[in-house]
Amino acid sequence: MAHRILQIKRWLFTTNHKDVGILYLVTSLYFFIIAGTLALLFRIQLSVPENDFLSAAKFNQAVTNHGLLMVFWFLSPLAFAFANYFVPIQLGAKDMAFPRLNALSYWLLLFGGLLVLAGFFVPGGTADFGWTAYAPLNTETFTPNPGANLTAFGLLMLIASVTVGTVNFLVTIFQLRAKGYKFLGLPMFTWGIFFTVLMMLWAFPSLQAALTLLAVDRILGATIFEAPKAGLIWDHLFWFFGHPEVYIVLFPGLALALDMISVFSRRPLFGRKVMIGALAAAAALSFGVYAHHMFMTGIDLSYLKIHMLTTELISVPFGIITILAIISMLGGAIRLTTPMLFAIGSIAVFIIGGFSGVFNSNPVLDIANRGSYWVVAHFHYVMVGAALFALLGGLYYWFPKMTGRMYNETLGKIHFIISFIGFNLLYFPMFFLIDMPRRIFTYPEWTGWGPLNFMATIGGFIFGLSHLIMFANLLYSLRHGPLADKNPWGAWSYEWMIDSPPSEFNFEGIPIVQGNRLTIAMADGAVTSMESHGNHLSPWPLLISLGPFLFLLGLGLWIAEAVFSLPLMLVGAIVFLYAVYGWFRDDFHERFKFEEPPEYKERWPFTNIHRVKLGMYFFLLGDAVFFAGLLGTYVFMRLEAGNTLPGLITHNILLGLLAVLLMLWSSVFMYVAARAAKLGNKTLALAGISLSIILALSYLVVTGFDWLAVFSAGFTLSDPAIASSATTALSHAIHLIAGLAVAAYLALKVWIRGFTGHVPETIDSLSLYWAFLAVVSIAIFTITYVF
Amino acid sequence: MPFSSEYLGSTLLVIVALSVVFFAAAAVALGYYLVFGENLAGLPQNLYTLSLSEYVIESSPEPIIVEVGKPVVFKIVNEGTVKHEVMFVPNLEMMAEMISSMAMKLQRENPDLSQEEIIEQIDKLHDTMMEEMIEEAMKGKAIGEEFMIELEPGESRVTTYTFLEPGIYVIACLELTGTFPEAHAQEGMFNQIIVVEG
Amino acid sequence: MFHYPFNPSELSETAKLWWDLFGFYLAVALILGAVIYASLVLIPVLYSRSRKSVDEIKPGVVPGDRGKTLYLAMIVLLIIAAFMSIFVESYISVNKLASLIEDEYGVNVDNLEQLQPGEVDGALIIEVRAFQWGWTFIYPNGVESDVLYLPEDRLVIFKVTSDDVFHAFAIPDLRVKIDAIPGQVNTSWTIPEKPGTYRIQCYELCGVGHAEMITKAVVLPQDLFDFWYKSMGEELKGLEGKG
Repeated sequence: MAHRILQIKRWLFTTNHKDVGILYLVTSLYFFIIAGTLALLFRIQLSVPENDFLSAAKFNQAVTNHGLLMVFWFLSPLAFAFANYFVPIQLGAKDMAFPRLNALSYWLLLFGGLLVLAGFFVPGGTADFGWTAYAPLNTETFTPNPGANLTAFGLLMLIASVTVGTVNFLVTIFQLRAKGYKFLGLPMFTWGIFFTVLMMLWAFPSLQAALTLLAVDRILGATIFEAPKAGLIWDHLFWFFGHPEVYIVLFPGLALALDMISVFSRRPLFGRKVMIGALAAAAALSFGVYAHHMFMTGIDLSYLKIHMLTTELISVPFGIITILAIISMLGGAIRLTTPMLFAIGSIAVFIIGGFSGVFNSNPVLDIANRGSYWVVAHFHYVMVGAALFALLGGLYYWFPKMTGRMYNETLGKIHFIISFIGFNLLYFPMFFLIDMPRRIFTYPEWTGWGPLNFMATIGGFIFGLSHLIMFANLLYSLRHGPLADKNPWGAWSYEWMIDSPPSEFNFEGIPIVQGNRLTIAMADGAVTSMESHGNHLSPWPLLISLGPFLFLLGLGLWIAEAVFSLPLMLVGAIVFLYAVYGWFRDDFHERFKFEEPPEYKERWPFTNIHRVKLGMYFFLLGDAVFFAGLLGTYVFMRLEAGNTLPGLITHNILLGLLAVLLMLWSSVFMYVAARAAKLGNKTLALAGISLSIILALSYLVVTGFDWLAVFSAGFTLSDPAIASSATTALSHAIHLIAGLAVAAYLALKVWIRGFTGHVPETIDSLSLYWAFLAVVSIAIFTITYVF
Repeated sequence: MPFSSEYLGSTLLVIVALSVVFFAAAAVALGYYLVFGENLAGLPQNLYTLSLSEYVIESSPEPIIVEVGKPVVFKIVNEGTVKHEVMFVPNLEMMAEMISSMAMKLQRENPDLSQEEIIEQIDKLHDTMMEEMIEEAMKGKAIGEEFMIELEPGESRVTTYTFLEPGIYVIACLELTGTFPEAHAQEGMFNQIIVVEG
Repeated sequence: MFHYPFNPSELSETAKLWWDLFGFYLAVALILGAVIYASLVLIPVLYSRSRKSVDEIKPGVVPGDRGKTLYLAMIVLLIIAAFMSIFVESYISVNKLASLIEDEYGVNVDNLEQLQPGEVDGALIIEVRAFQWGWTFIYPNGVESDVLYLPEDRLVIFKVTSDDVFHAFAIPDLRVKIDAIPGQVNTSWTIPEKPGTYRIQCYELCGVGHAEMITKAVVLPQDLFDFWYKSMGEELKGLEGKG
């Protein structure tokens, strides 16, 4: 009994990257089953014309949540399950750079997903505006469903999870490689994850900006997205995120397929560096192609032509990767094991998906493709075909490593064959449904779409049910499969050099790479002491995510006028504050210490930057996009929405200048504190932090006065320009308040305990954060006050 | 050791800290003064919100004081239940008398017309005749898009004026609905704009 | 199997343009795809389990490769050439979409949304209003209809807008599609070439009635259309006269 409780505690409080990886894996498969069931439900509805299996409202809810759950809570988390488990091992590291943040990232993801699912149980139904949530359909006027609020909140929690995870992975990849491990030597999978997180860093803040504005609309009663032409700004924000998102889903799978092809044909990848370059080029280009989703919106033709060019250009790197992958097999000793079959299948469907994508790159061809089943077929070939097949292959590939047991090879191959046939039967007919609109819940018989849809439904069931074979196979093998070797595939990335399953810290000693070969230097005292440093369990990541979950659930239900919403919000707030307090307390006593000695790590090109500061740099790079999105919306509203007033008239310019001045001074004093902390001058550091806090507080007060004046002059949030600039100011204030909490805590810690642990570096990172907020306040002033 | 560098350093620190705290306090106080200060209401502003209802024109802030040559923005909202207007009236009493006597005359001459129909007819007259009169009267005194703004219930409009001559300008509503045969202005639906030299 | 011809080029001018380009893309895709697919299937079959090659890769060794730069460069060049040809062809077609009516009718395509009826000889300008869930078509003479009547062989310009949410106006068979966005007027054009009845449908999710936002476009011969247009207009005048 005690053992069982210990087990539960281990899974809830774990911060070990492999445990978190398993949690990701189980969660993503759980969401896969839910989203897949939704898909089967609406495939039944569509199988014959004029069917009434689902009502229009239920169909729309099913389609919307199928898209959201599959993309955000299944495909990416499945890729990141592997990334969590294997990227640190492939780098030769013992854990992620920030293990607790890693756990936090998982719990935020889980609770975000539960929030979205909770929407189904709210009276009035959940979101039904499609996963693209086009404005103004997503506003309260047109979608009053309270569940839609929960969907927006769930997505915001997901973005929080993604932001934390992104920073964590970037710092890990940059600073935790084993000594002597050069960047170019990393396995393709790690490269794929590297580019994925880079894209995530810049893509998700754009969605965050859009969703923040939407939340202001839906909760505070603003009408930003109901303003004339506001649908376009949603399009820009959404697709600036949405197109990179396709590659975010695709890259880990594609890279994994390349690794598997190389392993199972026992050949090195042909043109490996070119492939890495191609991935880099595609990642960079992915931000400049999004307007091909907007060919029919009537925006400027020359802008569309540029995006037509880039969209066609982005097919070049992918073409190169595909052909090189095929040539890599040439002359190999190919073993057609289950993972290899999935890898080849992934490439095979990716070719079709890629070619059909080129058809979408042209405004003339888009006249037929836009909003039709051609597009549905295309992106399912890419996201389901290429990404999912490769990831399922990865599941088979790494199963022996994760569990220490082999799965049944025959059943695996049967799974591949059935799912491959089912997949093509499901999606290939959709190419011929080029004139059938997406997301219609039924269609008249005279359209003649019946037979093809019926075929697709049959394929859908074959494809969906085929995965039961996999589940049965893997669940049985978990207990009864034959024991697996260290390296059953003869692969060469470093996870295959250690035990299956790996021990808690992966490597018993210090991993060092010499001439492309990993050797384990025998442990010296410094390293072993780190491992014996006790407790790695922390309840705070779980509680810190549970708090917002309860709070947002209450807030969403409050709009649905449920009685227990207020207590829920209260409990949520208390849990959150208690968890933050607990995290700070742990940090105060330095109970949780994990740092691999930097002298055993390859940290190029950030050799001399502390991991906390590097993480802060990456976070701020992403955050800049968030504020750019908000300010861009304000500019759009001022130019396009009509009858909005310039900031010069609505705001008091003097107060604005004063506020900027206060923020700048505050940031200067934080910098002084950081320098003083580095030199070890306690008095000066304390003085700097406290003065900075005082100035930041007065900044908040002065800005608050200014907004009070704006609202008392008769302006309300129904003015879209006021609402969008208020959202920007509010976001900035929330950033600042979070920073103030950390600053106050650090001042306390320095006062009582002096400069222990990595306090000086934390203060240094905080001063960076403060400088960023000062720059943002200048941007807010110049754009929303003067323009 | 009064002049050692250590002593100097902490003195300097105290001075800096005090001045920063003073600066922050002064900024907050100035912010409070600018937003809530009593005198603020008496100073020329560049934005006024006029809310129209039965039968008042309320301004926020009150009174309306404007500097010559500076553009001023008016946000006008009809919060009432009937149609209202804001128009610049050179001579309020004369205009109001004119409107109501015209209404009474129409009623006398056409006893079969209902009140609504009379108001409709007066509206037509008022729109054509008065608009020209007001344009003429305001010429050289102020620059703006229109000097007679009619708003349906719930409607709002934002417009800008630049006054060229100092003086007191009367704005009023000369609609008749609800107060027939008198105009709204006679019930007190007017306000004034005080234009001062810069 | 297809209720509409897979090749719609005889139905309208825009469909012709679309089909030419689609065919070109399809040809490139099929040729390249055939080569790639052949190698993708053949290579694993040919080299499957062949133990002839040396098992030169050992765990812990990251493979590298040299000396095949020329081979690689050829592949890259080939792909870039395919991309260039596609790009040139699509660039030409996009410009053609504009120049086709610019040359023949003298329409300035840069501000189609400001075009007034009567400005262009022989062109019919129809205002399309989308709403939840249906369409209103407004003709220059004031006739409002929920079925779209079009003349054969004549330039038709659609000025599309929406009253509430984001819709997409489309006559798929004639290859007409443009988004209907509240607060904005978008334009699209076509020249129908074959009398008949075609489906009009909304192509952007717009709420629970999305699937039923469906009506028909009737392409009439010139004289029949003129008769309909005139008689509807006169009927409208009659109604106004009475009121």
